[in-house]
Amino acid sequence: MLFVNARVLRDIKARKGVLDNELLRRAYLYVARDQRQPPQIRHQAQLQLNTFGRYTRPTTVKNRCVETGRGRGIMSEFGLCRTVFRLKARNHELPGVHKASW
Amino acid sequence: MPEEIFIPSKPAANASPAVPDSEAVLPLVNATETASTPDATQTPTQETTKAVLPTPEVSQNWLDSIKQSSQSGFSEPEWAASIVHGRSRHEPLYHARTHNIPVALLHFRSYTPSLLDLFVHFASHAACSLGIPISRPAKLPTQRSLWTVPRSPFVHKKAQENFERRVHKRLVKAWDADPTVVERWVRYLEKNAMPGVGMRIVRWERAPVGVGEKVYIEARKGVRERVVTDKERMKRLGEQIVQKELAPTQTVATTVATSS
Repeated sequence: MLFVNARVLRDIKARKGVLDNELLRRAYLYVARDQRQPPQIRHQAQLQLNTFGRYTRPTTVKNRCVETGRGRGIMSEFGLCRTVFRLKARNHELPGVHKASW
Repeated sequence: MPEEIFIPSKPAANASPAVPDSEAVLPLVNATETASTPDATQTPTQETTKAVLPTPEVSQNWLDSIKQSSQSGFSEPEWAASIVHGRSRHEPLYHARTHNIPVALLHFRSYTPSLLDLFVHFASHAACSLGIPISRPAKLPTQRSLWTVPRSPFVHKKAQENFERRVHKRLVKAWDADPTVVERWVRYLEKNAMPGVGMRIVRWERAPVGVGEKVYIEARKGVRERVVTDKERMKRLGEQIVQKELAPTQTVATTVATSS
């Protein structure tokens, strides 16, 4: 079950916003980067892009630990932070993961 | 229990392809499959129980062809009869390839090599019983992922712990068998799949000349005529934005500049 936190809720909001606005953002970016358009139009498109709020920008999206909501030390393959990953791996709760020895 | 092993004399060198009749019986099957068409598995209420060992009802042509195709000169029932303690203790009989035409490729992956070897052994024995020539299991390189993680929840970076995950892989190749036989083998393996072992199967079938066009026509029936990709959608939206929002502002600006 997902751990719920103020920061986790913000991240969920950001993800939803990014999903809804991705096409629009990409279209504006396409216009702003299009070499064939006159510079005024490109500048206008870039200004429009700057007006989007923070919950529509993909840079706001951050992987969080599913168990503790921690923002740092996340391992994408498991969706867990490093401490929880270590606890679960030691309890054999992660399939195929064991203490390395070589 | 008699200890003597039955060793028959070697047959003639004429090898015929391992093509069975449609009435082939699967010796190792559980008591729910029939020996008739593949569609019979859709009606579970009418299944009859079948003997575990191959019975005399099996077509003689197929048995003879297996006998002739086997490298050691045994047929599968003869070889099976020679086993004292059971198939799990012995390597399967590897039938000789008659035409060297590849028919299937089986990839197995697991975190546990013992489970993997067990299932590959099981699959090899099933192929042997069906008369499918297969290769010895090949060991593909093991994939190893390593994660190094600090032990403490706070600071103490110098104290870390290593965790790893190894993915072991095996490969078995099959030749020459009839597509119906391969289908039966594959369905048998899927039905008796082992938890902890993943299986991926690549199959090749022989098709008559001119099949490409038919396949293309069939495929086109299922495809929508005009598929709009995300990139196209983005470009269209960009053009709309330019026409409706951005270009009108520019024309207004120029007219204002000229008038003043």
